[in-house]
Amino acid sequence: MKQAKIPLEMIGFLMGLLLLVGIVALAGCQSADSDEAEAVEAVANVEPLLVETATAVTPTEAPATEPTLEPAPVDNCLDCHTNKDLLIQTADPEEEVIAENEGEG
Amino acid sequence: MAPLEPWEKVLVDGELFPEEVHGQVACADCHAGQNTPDKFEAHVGLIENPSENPVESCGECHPDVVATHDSNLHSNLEGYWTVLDARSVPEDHEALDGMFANHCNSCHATCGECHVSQPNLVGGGLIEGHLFNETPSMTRNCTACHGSRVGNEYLGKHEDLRPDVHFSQGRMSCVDCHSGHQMHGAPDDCQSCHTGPEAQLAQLEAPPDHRYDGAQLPSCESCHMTVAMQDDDIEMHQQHGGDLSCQVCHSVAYTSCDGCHVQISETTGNPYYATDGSYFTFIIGKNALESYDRPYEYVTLRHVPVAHDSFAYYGEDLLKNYDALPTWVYTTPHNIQRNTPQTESCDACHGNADLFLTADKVYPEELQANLSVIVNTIPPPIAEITSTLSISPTTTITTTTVITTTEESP
Ligand code: HEC
Ligand code: HEC
Ligand code: HEC
Ligand code: HEC
Ligand code: HEC
Ligand code: HEC
Ligand code: HEC
Ligand code: HEC
Repeated sequence: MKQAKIPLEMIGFLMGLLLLVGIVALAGCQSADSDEAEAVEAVANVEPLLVETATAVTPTEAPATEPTLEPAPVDNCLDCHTNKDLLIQTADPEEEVIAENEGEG
Repeated sequence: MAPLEPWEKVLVDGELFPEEVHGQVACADCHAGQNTPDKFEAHVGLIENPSENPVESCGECHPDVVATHDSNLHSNLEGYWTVLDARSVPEDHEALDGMFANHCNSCHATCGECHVSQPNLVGGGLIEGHLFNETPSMTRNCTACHGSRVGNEYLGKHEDLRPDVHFSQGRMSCVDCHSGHQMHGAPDDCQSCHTGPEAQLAQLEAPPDHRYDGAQLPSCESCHMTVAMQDDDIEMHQQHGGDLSCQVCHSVAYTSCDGCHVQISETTGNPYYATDGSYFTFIIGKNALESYDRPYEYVTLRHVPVAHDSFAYYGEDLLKNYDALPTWVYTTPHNIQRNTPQTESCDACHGNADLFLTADKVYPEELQANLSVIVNTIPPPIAEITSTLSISPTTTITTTTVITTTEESP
């Protein structure tokens, strides 16, 4: 009985140590990995972002003057909501607000 | 302020908005919808008010503000529930839920209604081409909801009544007193909560369940410190430093309302309310919310328009505990003046029953509800105090003792 106890504890200790080393090693790898991944992603993102912004500000220019450019994704929401004439054309007539409330709120 | 044209309400600033942080996020990330040039199709599945769900639309970047959002009165309208619950019985809560959904819910404020657009209550509409304003606009955000009472008083919109001195003289806006922290549901600084005795500290965790729950935000004394320390030579401050709220002397007439009734219109199907009328009052009564934070014995009171049958449309006798709370409630009018009728002399108030909520001013059917705030004995004219005592009224300690005994009401 007495003899069995010591090795057991030792094994436990060793396994703990191993696990620790493992975790440290893994963590090291992982953070390096994700740093790299982030860096790659950031680079990858720059191009389309720039294109999009440029297109957004002068939406009619981009495709016409620079036909070599990949057609940028059109944001129809932005296009319409920054176009006063189009909004006037398409706006629903103001529903008549029938306010039946009386007195102080 | 002229009402916005329908197109103005939805016109995004094509130069400035895409430049700012929120303009870098795709419209559809917040508003959903479809990316097509056809208006009708584009709006299928549209989320008109993204900040109705702030966790989704703002939480990722503003976790601190969003965290306190749910416990914020602007969001949960807990103040309304507190008084409804107190005046009703649990069996009737379901009927009241329906009433609430129709008439009260539209008052709750989203992030966007303070930072992006006018409140839906006044028809919505972008304020500055969809820019996210750090500081809400006083007239297009705050008083769009708080207009008929607070706004009109503060800005002096009522005939013959002067605007609040903080507006006319201090050029202050709402947010100069009501900070972002307060609006987001957290106090300004630690001291506004962490000064109280143990009992109060224990309650710190509980979010406020009505507008005057917890510390005064703000307190007048936080800016006017000399008054708080009775460190000036104004006799009234020395005499009444702690027993009267500041408004008792520094407010003028303010709005009270009677008899609100709610129902659904037969012609349009819209919910609506009507009150029997509003009028100006200036009434001093007992402080029903006396506490460590609000130690005053006397405060200004206004009449709230809840009647026994306010919600009769939704069921019979839904306010079975009508008498549980006063209908003349603690109020802090936004029309502060240095000189008011009350500051003219001690006897402007002493011996002047007109200023006090005496039983005869209360509707008979509301008498029971207001027992805790009715003033039974008005302070006697100063001459009476001095003659019965035949000592100088400035000998505070002696005077206090004598008045307290005569004040004891049956
Ligand atoms: C970060 C989230 C977010 C983004 C991105 C965003 N919006 Fe909004 N938008 C809001 C909020 C918040 C409101 C105010 C309504 C509310 O939630 O209370 C609003 C309101 C509006 C309104 C006014 C609604 C009314 O009548 O009051 C329009 C129109 C609108 N947005 C269009 C757009 C367009 C077009 C884009 C893209 C260019 C866009 N939004 C991008 C959050 C966003
Ligand atoms: C993608 C991240 C992001 C999202 C999503 C986002 N915000 Fe912001 N917001 C920011 C950043 C970053 C700033 C600070 C900008 C600065 O200082 O110029 C900011 C600033 C603000 C400001 C202060 C205005 C200013 O110019 O400083 C307000 C108000 C605001 N946001 C409200 C909201 C609301 C309401 C939502 C949800 C509808 C939201 N934000 C969603 C990132 C975000
Ligand atoms: C969409 C409507 C709406 C808008 C916009 C709004 N409020 Fe409110 N506000 C309310 C409602 C409703 C309550 C009461 C909630 C309750 O009692 O449960 C309230 C409560 C308050 C309170 C007392 C409770 C507290 O949290 O301290 C203050 C102070 C206040 N508002 C100030 C402001 C200011 C200042 C602004 C502008 C920055 C503003 N409100 C904008 C609807 C609004
Ligand atoms: C009742 C009005 C009101 C509501 C509702 C509201 N805010 Fe604010 N907010 C303010 C005020 C007032 C300020 C402070 C402005 C100043 O100091 O100029 C502020 C400041 C801010 C700021 C900049 C300072 C800071 O604390 O970071 C951000 C970001 C912000 N609010 C986001 C939000 C978000 C997100 C929501 C919804 C969860 C929201 N607000 C709801 C009134 C409001
Ligand atoms: C000089 C400071 C100051 C200014 C400016 C100010 N308030 Fe207040 N407000 C107060 C004080 C003090 C209270 C009472 C706070 C308490 O007792 O907890 C209060 C309470 C409130 C309440 C809750 C009580 C009630 O009457 O419903 C609302 C709502 C409110 N203010 C809205 C506003 C609005 C809207 C504006 C701008 C038009 C504004 N305030 C400007 C000091 C100010
Ligand atoms: C955020 C700070 C702030 C708060 C809170 C505040 N005040 Fe003021 N108060 C001011 C400022 C600033 C002025 C303008 C001072 C001036 O023009 O000389 C002022 C002016 C006054 C005046 C006129 C003084 C004079 O000399 O004409 C009175 C009276 C007054 N306040 C009372 C109050 C009362 C009562 C409250 C609480 C309801 C209060 N104040 C809350 C900052 C504040
Ligand atoms: C019993 C009535 C009374 C009460 C209560 C009262 N005041 Fe005054 N207050 C006065 C009188 C009287 C004056 C002087 C008016 C004049 O100039 O003729 C004054 C003047 C002031 C002034 C301008 C002079 C100065 O000292 O700067 C401020 C600010 C002020 N009070 C704030 C407060 C505040 C804050 C409270 C609550 C803590 C308060 N008062 C409570 C009666 C009162
Ligand atoms: C706006 C109303 C108001 C004004 C102005 C006012 N008082 Fe009073 N006074 C009261 C009320 C209410 C009480 C009774 C409450 C109490 O006992 O605290 C009271 C009580 C007193 C008492 C009894 C002692 C005490 O504090 O209980 C004395 C003494 C007194 N006032 C003196 C004065 C003097 C002197 C002035 C003028 C410099 C003055 N008061 C101005 C409202 C006012």
